Amino acid sequence: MRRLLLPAIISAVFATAHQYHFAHLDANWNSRAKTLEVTVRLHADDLEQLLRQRAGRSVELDRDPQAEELACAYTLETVAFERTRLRCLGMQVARHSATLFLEAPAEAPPVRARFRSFSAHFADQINTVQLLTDNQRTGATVAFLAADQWKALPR
Amino acid sequence: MTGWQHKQFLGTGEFTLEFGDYQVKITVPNDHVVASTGVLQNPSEVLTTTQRQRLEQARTAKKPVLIVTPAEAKAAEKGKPTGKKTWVFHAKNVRDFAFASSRKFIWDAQGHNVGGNSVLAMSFYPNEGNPLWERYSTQAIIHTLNVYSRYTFQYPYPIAISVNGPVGGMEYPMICFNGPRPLEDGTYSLRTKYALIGVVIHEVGHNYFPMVVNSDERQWTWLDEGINSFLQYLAEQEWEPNYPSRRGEPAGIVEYMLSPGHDPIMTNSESVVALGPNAYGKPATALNILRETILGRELFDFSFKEYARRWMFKRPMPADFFRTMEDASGTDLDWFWRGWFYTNEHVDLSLEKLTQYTIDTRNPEIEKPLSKKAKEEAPVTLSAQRNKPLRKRTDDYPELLDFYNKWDEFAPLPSEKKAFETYVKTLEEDEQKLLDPTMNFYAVELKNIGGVVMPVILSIEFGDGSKEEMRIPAEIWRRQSNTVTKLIPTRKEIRSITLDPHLETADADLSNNHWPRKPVKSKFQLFKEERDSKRNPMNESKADAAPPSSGNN
Ligand SMILES: [Zn+2]
Repeated sequence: MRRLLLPAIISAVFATAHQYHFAHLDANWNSRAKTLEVTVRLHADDLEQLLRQRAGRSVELDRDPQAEELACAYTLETVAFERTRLRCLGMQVARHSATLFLEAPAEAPPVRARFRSFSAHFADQINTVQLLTDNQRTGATVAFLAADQWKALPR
Repeated sequence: MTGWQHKQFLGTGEFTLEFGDYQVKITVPNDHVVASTGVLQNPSEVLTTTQRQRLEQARTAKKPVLIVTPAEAKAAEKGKPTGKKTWVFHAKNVRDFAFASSRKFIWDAQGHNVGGNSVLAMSFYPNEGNPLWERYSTQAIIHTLNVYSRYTFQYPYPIAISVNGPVGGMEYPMICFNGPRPLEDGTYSLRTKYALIGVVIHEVGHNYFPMVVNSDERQWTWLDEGINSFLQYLAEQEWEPNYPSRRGEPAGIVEYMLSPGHDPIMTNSESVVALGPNAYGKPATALNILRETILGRELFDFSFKEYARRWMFKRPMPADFFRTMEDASGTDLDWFWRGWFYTNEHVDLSLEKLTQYTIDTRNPEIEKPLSKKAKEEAPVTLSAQRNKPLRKRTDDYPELLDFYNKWDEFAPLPSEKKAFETYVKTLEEDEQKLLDPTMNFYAVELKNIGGVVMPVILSIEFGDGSKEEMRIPAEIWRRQSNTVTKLIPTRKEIRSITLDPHLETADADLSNNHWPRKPVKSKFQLFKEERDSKRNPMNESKADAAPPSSGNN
């Protein structure tokens, strides 16, 4: 028997007019600094809801002094590139989105990625990854559906 | 339109119904307050004298008037019902009917005249909704009626209600349900505030699309959600300066339009992955671009109003929208519908190359001196330089020099002058103007990388520092859809060109929008720079001296 996640059931019952679960990540390989510069954009509402669940208390992204730390921790759990150790530099919060900035030393552009932010919570979550070298896009965007794990990045 | 509906309702796109008149009796515990589609028929049986007096007051009030106060709602919460009451509502010409009932409801109301129709705007919410709801809900209803009616038609119903309930946002005729609430401690974040104002505008706005312009959301979600999100953006922008709208600005849709394999807008709701950006965000942005960049506000607003007016209480299909917008604006927009609604391509125009030319005027009095100058300025070869001081035979025997030695090959001949005069006569007046030797001709080479055809908007900076904007209609792409060259004649010298300088086309790659190429800073770089500048001690001491900020930006 397959197990359904509670938020997936709730979102099916209350088909409100505002559902959409979408996150995007730009992974730029800086050839001079030999670093991978990662920008992750998440929906602020989704992130707030998730951190509330994880922390067991309400976490308002723009007011809570621990919000950045909690958001960084979650992002590092759900975003990964093969053979790279990311560290989180911080978060910027806008009215509708939260952007997290991650960095790692990298001798070459990454080959495979995993991007599962919210994937365990929303059955319709779609995460996209764009690979860049020195801020120029290389290859097409890769989409991660909720069930996807590691995927190759085209160059 | 489609006859009896055989399609199973799957829950993605909301279903549609035909119009009808409803008389509904709702029997509830007698301490409940009922909010419903339609006009209350028996106020004397279900409301107290005080409540009826307050409601009367509210009809002409300048601010929302409380019909049930927070204290009264709190008291009702603690009590127990002593019996039942039946509320009777009548609704005319609606495609659905909904109601809410609770003893916890605070109730406020304000009468409002929308272009000659008096409407009672009302909000129902528990104490948990305050202080947000008492401040914003009814105000947002009235604001929506004002703005939407201006862009479409006069609001046709006598009631408009917003209810705070467990649903994030859901619309019905005359009544809608909206979720945002403050925290338990009564404070709320900026995002909660704008979420409430935004959702009330959106759900009240649904009274126009699809409650009156009765499109089928199950088939074409964008036809009500996209149009409504577009109008929501317009209404939000009239709420306060720089209202942080979620949808509408072109840059906001770029990520979605770049995502691989996403569906075209013209896709049945049950087949769409990511309904939000597909049926809400992208069409709202497309309409905003159509209004600001393609048609202009005046022509768009006229045509859009014509669509809304024509299809009131009828069942439009997408083609009816496309057709009316073209018909009323007198503009062929097929290319636009194709790019934005029927494909999943994105916008990326690139400024590839700039080449400078001058004109061959064919006027011997201009061209010959130019040739002479060119010859004089041509480099002298090494041998020629060394041969120059050598004594020549003609120095000793000048009789060897003849006509050809003295002839100025760059002096215009009478026959050449005559030929030029004849040539000029074959030219139109504006063509003659171009025969100006001081004119520069720049060929701008443009490439369509993304696939979606868009107008070319250029900001040109000249050598003297002056700037000029050039707006070239999308028809420039009609013969070659991949690469086109635009010729710019100017007396000045071009220093730089920027494509889409006001970010109005949702261009996905800004790094190819400049000549000469300009490095575009990534978000990552900007973030790091900002962090580094914060560490700067001078900056830190400045921050200390400044008064404490309100904590948010
Ligand atoms: Zn909606």
